[in-house]
Amino acid sequence: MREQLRTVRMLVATAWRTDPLRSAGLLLEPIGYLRFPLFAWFLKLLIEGAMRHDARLLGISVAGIVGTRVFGFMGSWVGASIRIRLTEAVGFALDREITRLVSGLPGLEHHERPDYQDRLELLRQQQGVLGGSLNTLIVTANTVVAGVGTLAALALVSPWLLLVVPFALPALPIAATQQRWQKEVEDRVAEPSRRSRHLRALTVDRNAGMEMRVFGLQHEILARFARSLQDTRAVVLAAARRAVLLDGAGDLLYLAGFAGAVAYMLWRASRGLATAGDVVMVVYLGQQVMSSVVEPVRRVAGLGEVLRAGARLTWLQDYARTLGRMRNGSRPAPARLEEGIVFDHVSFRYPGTEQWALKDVSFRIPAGSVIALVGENGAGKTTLVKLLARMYAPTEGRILVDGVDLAEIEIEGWRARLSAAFQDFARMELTAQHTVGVGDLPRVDDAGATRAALERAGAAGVLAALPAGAGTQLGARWEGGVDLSTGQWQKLALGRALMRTDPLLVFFDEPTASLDALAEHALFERYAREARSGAGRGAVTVLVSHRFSTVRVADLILVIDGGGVRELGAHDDLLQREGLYAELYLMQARSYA
Amino acid sequence: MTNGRWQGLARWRALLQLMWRAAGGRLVLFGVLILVAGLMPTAVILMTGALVRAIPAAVEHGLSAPQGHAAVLALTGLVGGLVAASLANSALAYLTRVIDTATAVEVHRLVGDVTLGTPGLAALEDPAFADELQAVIDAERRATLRWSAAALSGVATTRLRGAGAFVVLLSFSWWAPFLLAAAWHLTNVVFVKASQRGVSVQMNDGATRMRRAEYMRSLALEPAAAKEIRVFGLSGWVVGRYGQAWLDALSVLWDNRRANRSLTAAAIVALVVSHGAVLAAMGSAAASGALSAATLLVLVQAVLATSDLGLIGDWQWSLMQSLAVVQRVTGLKVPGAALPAAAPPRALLAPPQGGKLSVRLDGVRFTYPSRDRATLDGLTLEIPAGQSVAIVGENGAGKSTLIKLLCGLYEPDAGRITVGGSATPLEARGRIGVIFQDFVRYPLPLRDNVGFGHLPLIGDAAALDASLRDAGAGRILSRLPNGWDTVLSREFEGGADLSGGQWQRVALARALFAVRGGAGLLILDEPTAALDVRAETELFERFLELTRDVTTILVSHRLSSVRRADRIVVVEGGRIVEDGTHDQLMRAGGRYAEMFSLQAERFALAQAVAEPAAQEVCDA
Repeated sequence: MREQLRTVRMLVATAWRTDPLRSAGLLLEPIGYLRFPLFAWFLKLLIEGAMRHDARLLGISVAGIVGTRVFGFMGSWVGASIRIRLTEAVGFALDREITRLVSGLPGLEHHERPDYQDRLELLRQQQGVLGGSLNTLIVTANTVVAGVGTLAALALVSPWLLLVVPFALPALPIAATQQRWQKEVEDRVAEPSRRSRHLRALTVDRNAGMEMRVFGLQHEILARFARSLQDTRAVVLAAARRAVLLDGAGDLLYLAGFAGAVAYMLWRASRGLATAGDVVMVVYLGQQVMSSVVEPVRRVAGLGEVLRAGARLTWLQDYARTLGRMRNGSRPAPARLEEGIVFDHVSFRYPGTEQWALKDVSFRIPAGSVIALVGENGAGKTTLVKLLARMYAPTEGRILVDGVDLAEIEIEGWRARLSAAFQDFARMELTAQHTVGVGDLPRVDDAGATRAALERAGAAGVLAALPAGAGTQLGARWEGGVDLSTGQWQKLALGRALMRTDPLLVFFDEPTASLDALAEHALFERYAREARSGAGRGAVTVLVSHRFSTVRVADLILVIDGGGVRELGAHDDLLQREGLYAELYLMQARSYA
Repeated sequence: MTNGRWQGLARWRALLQLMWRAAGGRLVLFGVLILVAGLMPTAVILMTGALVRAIPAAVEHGLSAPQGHAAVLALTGLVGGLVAASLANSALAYLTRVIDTATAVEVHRLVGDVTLGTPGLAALEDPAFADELQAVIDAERRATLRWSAAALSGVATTRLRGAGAFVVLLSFSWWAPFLLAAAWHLTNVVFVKASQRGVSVQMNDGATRMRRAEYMRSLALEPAAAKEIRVFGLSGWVVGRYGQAWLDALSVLWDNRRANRSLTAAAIVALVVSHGAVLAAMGSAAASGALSAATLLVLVQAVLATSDLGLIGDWQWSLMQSLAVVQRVTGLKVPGAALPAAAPPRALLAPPQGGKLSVRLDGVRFTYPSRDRATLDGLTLEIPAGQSVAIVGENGAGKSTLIKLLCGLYEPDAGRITVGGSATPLEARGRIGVIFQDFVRYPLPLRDNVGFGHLPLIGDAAALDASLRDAGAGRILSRLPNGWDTVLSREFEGGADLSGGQWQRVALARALFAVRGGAGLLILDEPTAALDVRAETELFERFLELTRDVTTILVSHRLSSVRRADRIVVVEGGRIVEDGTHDQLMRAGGRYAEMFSLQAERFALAQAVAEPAAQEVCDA
């Protein structure tokens, strides 16, 4: 209950912050719902006026009916336009909050745990639901006002009529049950709908389209997509069927009570204890209870959905806050590295997995050095890089930067002194200028800076080949957008990694996998110079590569095997040692002999 | 009838057709239920009138007297009408879900049939069509048509209630229903005018802006750019751009949605006047005794129900959106698009020489629609069946384009490509195994990731095992928690993620699985870019063995692997500039020799150290 109150508070506060005027306007809407009981009363006057041929009574009731009618129309017209607008604005505000929180999470765990993915997937999907949360809250308030007003009017006619209330009450447990089912459905379809989303993405993805055409997989993928949709659909429809049956039963029960109430009034009227107007009023109010209490209660049950979606957002807020506190240190990042970086008995396991990705790893990277990580696929090289970039924290052990535990250093400050080109680099479909420029955000629009970075990356030619130069939109799905080859994308990613001018730590994770021989050669010639120029501030360069011609330029080579350090030393030392490195190096060297 | 009306009708037809295709005969039941649910309220109003009319007799004679029976009967009818309406509404609510979910599936199917239905890619990339397709894909993703049946039933039942009231009012006077209907219609006009602009903006200009906003949002939320966002501290920037793009999109919408104020005022005045006039006329008739209380009650309720002829709101808006997009969806057709038959004719080509396919490119010229320079410019190449050919060249020389043409994904502008003697690449498709540079990482079980190379063989465990081993991926299998059934994505329960190199081996296994399935041509575009040295070396040591039964085309920048091919061709400026074996090309001292020497040179320096070291091993 406290959780739910917190969610409601969060939703209302967001709406209020987003658009106070419209939010306030919306709060007035429930008052308009008093028109329903008022209207019943005017109707009763009308009937009695007609029976008594009372012109004054008829006049009052006609004016009253016209008044409530027009008032009602204006209320719903204005209310709807306010609500639509507010739904969009609040939906966006909440969505931006989600985006901010997720992209601000220090690590990557949330992308790799199915239980987190389920919640995030729902948050992604339920954009509209959260946006309409205020709407749902208001509808709830409307219902309460209309319902209480209607019941008060009934009680005025005859307190006995309140006996219909027990017949309306089952609507509440019915709605609660349906909500429980609905929640079960949401949980059950989370994974299949994630699968559907991925399969759908395959059907509209260009690269996937190429491969599927050649292998003749079109039918198979479409069939699986359809099956996955049908799986979700079957669950949803089964729940809907149960819900509808329950609703029908609730309706019938209420109508039985309603019939009793009207019969009772009819009996009273036949005894002369009530007027025909009273009978009409009961008939009208009785239906009113149905249309403005029983049915809305079901809609209000939508509140459950809103609260659950809201609760996921508050979960995300808590998670982000806890993680932020846990992961963030308070000490500033060093201005320069004096001693270097030490791995002190570091072990790491990916969250939710049993296997050690790194086990008891200890070594030292001297300040100002270029270190190459060598090892077979899956040996743990990229994991090491991710730990240094603080995408993850070590499960055991510490990483020391000039003697200070990396975990104690302020994370933003540390990251501001990193730079990286990843193996699975991001293809950001922005302008070429921004795709590269984001490597140093303060200079994102600085054409000179990106040009210089690309030149250092040996990638100046990519810009020259684009129709509008640096201003060219990348990605064919955008207007005037251009598709790049994998090699061209990789060159831009390298340029991005070279944007920052004073990093302490630079990662090159397989930076040349898609480059041709000439480009690779040119890059390393330049790169060797680049690395040495940073050595003055003690900058460390970490290079991951399978090309031993590249690895050789490193001061220090770390050979990782099965999650542990196998060898460490300079190229010549390692060759002399005749271990794994020498074996791999000679293997490659021989293929050129 | 104006043009606009015809178009409106065509849209309705398209929507009903789409729903019919999705739901079939259930649509008839849907219609019947709408009729019942829509007309029952009018029946209830009439029954209420009958009840009131019967009250005086019941008061006079008592309910149990024969004169009182009319009242009981009326009450029974009233409750019966309400029960019928309730049951119809419940059934309608369920049927609506059935139809809407079926429609969503149908829309996905329509889109998929187009995106995967064309033999090549060129048709999809034609700018005019690409825009249309993008609009439909947007609508598909946004699930615009998702609430069509719900909206339709909401609007139709409401209008039927209004129509029933209209007919009832005709019994009072001919002018009253027309006056009221006209006033309510005015509210409709206000709404439709305001919304239509909104819908059209949302479909066109707004859609592009919205897509931009959504792209920025996905950049922030999805894993693809997660590492860069953290390393470069881009969270705030990306979220800011997302917000900007979103406000851009929505402000256009908001500007266009503003209702016409004077029209709104006119509608309100019209409502006051019409209701006032009609109700006053009824009141005075009642006052003069010309109208009984019971009739008055029926008429007043009918007056109120005429509001159902006016603006409805949400459902109306939903329906407008559905109607605006539906023709685009059902009308989506690319010339020549048709999914190939479920089982593609594998044995199209008589397999000559044990299934190996020869390849012949003759003066092939190709220019991408979006570029002005030809990517392939008179390329001629003949590959005898069973040969392994390596294609070498700088980034952007046209190697990958050549492969796309060989796979029939594009048609050459000039020249001819034949496979296996006389077949076009398209005809030969069932017999080609390929690993593209951007191979697909299917978020599906390992079995599918490999088995997709040749679907008919996917049940053959031995063939799967062998292909995986051939690709050097045997060890991956032993590490997966659920073996072949492990979904290769950690997003799924019991799933596992692979590293870049491991993924590449899986993709390679897929291509080799195609060979086991009878492919006569194997195309490998940078198959080892992410592999470690040992894996690459092992793979190429077995290269000849693996490609014994198949013609092979290999594209690679790692020239040490390329040299094992029977023949090497160098592509430059869209044509072949060198052609020969490794030794021939090294002797010729051309581009290939230059590139190879550059890579080899970086090892040469170390040879001096390495050789003695190796020597010592031998001595020891």
